[in-house]
Amino acid sequence: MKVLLVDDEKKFVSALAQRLSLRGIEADWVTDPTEALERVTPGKYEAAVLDVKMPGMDGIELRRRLAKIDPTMKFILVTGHGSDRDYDVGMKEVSYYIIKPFKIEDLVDKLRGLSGQ
Amino acid sequence: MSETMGKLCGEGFIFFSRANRLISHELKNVLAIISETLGLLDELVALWEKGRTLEPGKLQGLTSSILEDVTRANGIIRSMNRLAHSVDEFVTETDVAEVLGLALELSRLDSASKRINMYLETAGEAVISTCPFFLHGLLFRIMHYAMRRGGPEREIRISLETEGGGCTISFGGIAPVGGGEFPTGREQSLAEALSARITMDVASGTLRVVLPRALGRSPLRSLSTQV
Repeated sequence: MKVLLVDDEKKFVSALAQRLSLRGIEADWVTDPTEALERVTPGKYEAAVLDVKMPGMDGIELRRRLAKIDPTMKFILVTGHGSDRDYDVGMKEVSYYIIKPFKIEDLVDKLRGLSGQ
Repeated sequence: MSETMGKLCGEGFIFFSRANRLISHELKNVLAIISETLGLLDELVALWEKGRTLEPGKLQGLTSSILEDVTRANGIIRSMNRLAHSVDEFVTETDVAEVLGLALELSRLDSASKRINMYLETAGEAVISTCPFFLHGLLFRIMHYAMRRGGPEREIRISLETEGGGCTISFGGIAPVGGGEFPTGREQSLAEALSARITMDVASGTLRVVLPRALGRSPLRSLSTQV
């Protein structure tokens, strides 16, 4: 399974990618939403894990743009915000919405759930 | 409570709430980084126990990273504490450079700050009798606007100059915009309560806040922290 991680916190996203790779999930990562738009091509990634709050473009807008490039891609939103309203907005857009900090097993379960593994 | 006072208190709650949202979000981010780094460290050690090579440099890098994040979290909590203390006395002798510094620290927690370089270019010594909490609130609102309306240089230069007992805070580098966009009535009412004046020089992209040596007739004088 190949996924793209997008989060403006470089240390977070790079450590997460290494931990996912130890679990057999190949993870590329970027810290800039515009770079994510350049990276994604149809069929390249099965799923993307997107931070909601990023400078320039939020994760919800990025999801919409990435879905236009690859309509088969699945998405998980991740955020440090934990309000009910944020959750409601996020869940309208994606199947899963995770609050930071989280257990990696939760993310792995959700990624595997998305890919039907 | 008068209508003016009610609106001012509302602005105070909004500012406090917004600052707390930024602080809690940033702390969650730092905790998430620490959690992932520790998780990775734990997994590398587990792999080493199973016979995989573990480079000491990698371990050192991860532990240094955790220490950096603890320092970062401590800085955020220190800012939160300083903000909480800004209502110890509603009207008091106030070091404007200190208020400006804290407003800048809080504004840098906003993700918009990552796309623009907003910094204190010069800071003279200015001590005035004012309401530090609402001054924080006004400067925070101005910084929020400036970060989103930066000119092509993508930098907002802030300076503080003393003038006749009072002081002027300038925000340079704001993109020229049509008249009337800023300040809005909300900033104007905060400025009025602080006996301050906001001017916007559209041609040079500079916004100025002129603060007097002491509050004039302001409803903020009636606020008391005594319970």
